[in-house]
Amino acid sequence: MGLGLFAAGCRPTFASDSTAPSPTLPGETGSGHAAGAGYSDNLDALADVLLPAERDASGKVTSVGAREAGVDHVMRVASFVPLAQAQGLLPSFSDAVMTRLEDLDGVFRAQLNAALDVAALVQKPLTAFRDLPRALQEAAVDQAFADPAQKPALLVVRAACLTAYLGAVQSDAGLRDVGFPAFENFADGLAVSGYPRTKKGRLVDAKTESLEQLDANGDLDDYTYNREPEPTPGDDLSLVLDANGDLL
Amino acid sequence: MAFRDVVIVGSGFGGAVMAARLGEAAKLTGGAAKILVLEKGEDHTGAFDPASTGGALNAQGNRFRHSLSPESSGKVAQLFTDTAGAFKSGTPSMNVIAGLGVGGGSNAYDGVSLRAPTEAFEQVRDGRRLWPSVYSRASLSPYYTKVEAMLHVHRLAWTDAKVPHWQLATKRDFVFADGCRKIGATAVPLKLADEDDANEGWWNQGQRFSGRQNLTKNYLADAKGAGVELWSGCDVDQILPTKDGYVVSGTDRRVTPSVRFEIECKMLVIAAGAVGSSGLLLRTKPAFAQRRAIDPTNMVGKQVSGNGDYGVTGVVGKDYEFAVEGHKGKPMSSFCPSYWTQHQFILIPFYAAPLYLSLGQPSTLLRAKDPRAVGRASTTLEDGARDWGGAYKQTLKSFGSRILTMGCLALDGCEGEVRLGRGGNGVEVAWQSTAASTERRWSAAIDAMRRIYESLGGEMFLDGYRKDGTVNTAHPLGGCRMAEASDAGLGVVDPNGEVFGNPNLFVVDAAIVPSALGANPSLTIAAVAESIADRLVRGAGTRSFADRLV
Repeated sequence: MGLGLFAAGCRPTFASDSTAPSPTLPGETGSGHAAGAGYSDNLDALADVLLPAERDASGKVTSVGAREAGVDHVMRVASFVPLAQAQGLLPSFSDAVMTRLEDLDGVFRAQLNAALDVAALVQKPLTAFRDLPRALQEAAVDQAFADPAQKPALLVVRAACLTAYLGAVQSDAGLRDVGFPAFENFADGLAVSGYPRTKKGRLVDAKTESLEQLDANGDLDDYTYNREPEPTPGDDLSLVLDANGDLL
Repeated sequence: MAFRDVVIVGSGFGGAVMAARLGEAAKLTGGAAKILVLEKGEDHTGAFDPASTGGALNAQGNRFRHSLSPESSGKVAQLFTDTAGAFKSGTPSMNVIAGLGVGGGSNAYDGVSLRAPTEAFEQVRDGRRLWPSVYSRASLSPYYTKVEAMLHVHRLAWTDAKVPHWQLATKRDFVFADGCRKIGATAVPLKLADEDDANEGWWNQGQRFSGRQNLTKNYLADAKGAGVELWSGCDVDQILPTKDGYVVSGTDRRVTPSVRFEIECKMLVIAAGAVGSSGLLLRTKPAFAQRRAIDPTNMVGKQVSGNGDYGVTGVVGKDYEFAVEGHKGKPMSSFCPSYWTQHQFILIPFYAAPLYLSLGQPSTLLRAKDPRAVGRASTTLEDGARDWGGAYKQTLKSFGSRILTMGCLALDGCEGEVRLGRGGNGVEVAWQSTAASTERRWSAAIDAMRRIYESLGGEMFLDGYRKDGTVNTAHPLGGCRMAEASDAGLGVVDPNGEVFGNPNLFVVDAAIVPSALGANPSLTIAAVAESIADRLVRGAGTRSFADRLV
């Protein structure tokens, strides 16, 4: 059986039959903030600098960023810093720094908000960080990353941004933004229950259904090409592999 | 004080095999011997320890969720790192990812089940064979066969002419095969431990469906059937010798607040993984040594291999766009053995969730200043590149359809170390320097991987080793290495896993493997455990299991 999917180059276009779709977040509805406006505080603006949303001329979000993907929620996850460290998303910090990172949604947030305003002063006097033009916000962040005293705080917020965007913690909006299909059931943590599927997302039983026919109809979303790669001239594996596929 | 005849610390590829085989032996002799497995993590199945913490079971009858969020993946895998930055201040010199929870490493493995090549067992250092003479590829063969039957290991295929559709390699493997062919190499399907796999994707850590052969489905199920007890959430932190055996103590986290426990046993098997077992011995050594000598030559924690792991990330060209589809199917299903004879490494394409590709170093998802650089800390980011902001986000967005991750597994020189962290409590890992032979193999592997990306019209990004000198491995081996019984000073345990000078104290897991294997190690760790259990039960070359419990 050869499906010829390689030539087809099919991209998944799930019309998901989800039972519990991922929550739609405020920024996805078209009511998103225009750049530089509507930030609740400096940290909120910082998240949009580190992993920004993209908007059209009317201010409608066309591509979610960390804020829309739920970074605020991630910053409130209990023990986020040690959890992220245990997963390799953050480096180890000194005990003194760890103490500063204990209350991410309280003291840490207040201190970082103040520090960002100080950083903003260098860029434009009498202007809060959240009100700076994007280029100046980025310049302030560049300076903060270069400051050993400020860097740990920025690393934590960046880790939270990446976690919100790619970790599917509060929603799968970020994953969808980078091209992955929606979760089948986000509430149950179920991303996808199997392949092959039809283009509309129905799971196909390869034992009873003709994958060739589905492919011929342009209705197959498979995980395989189901064909032999071309042989490599001159590369004899008989001295390397045994009949079971193990290295000799 | 509670008493069990045998206590096994850890439920991964060493502990699960020992629990099943010693449990069967105890059952055959009347079942009087009581065996207890202590596991630090949760019981993700809810089937082994009713007192286990953890959320409600899902529709598939386990507690696995998607593997992306740290909240979820933190329950099936743990990271050991180097907080001091042994190579470069402020940057880990080594990161080790290890499994967690009932089933140990099988909660976080990708099911790859290759036998280690003959050459791995025949490695020599300072004129001595690294492996005790009882071990060779041939001598382990019957045990490999046994493990393969238990784990339903089978070889995948490119087409479903001879195998069920779910046993096929994925599209990205076909892309990898195309890249290999273009540089004169060949990709072949892998051997995997799975069964009627739903190919649900996001498979990397934990698996909610029945496809992957988690140890809870085979060895641990057999152990349970033989009457072996299992306590989850129990973190052992000290072992002490007594007149007739050992006392194991630690913290039971199944209850709030957690409580301390102490259990006396005649026979103790430590099987907490390369880092976990080494760390436990290091932590307990000062108190233990006040009663009886242990590790007099300070070998615990030394000569740790990363199995030559070296991962890179890159993108394929437009011609292959929409063909690599990381969210679908098995995370690993082919490999390239073409370089083994000359360079002793294999290449494997794999899928890792985007969040974890960064491993705390998002810059490694960007271009290297010198794409052809090889060697430790040999290059940096392109000038002016940022690992945050709009341009970085665009890079992330380009991943969805074009990302292809690859890695090599090689014979390294066991340059790693397990050691105690600050305050003597936490366990850390470090990779001080890389041997010239390892550097040569990695350089050849990186060059091959770069050429594969480029042959596919894409490019390879900067990796943690070339940027900061960080060695990342998911396959730690050693730290309590085996040595011949006549060479006690060169190892921690004898060829049966028994700690030198300490009767009935065993280490049986990745920690005793004395060299890199060059292939994914789970099958070999289980085969070594099968061979040890077989010799113990039969009393072949050592006191029998039954005698030890009298």
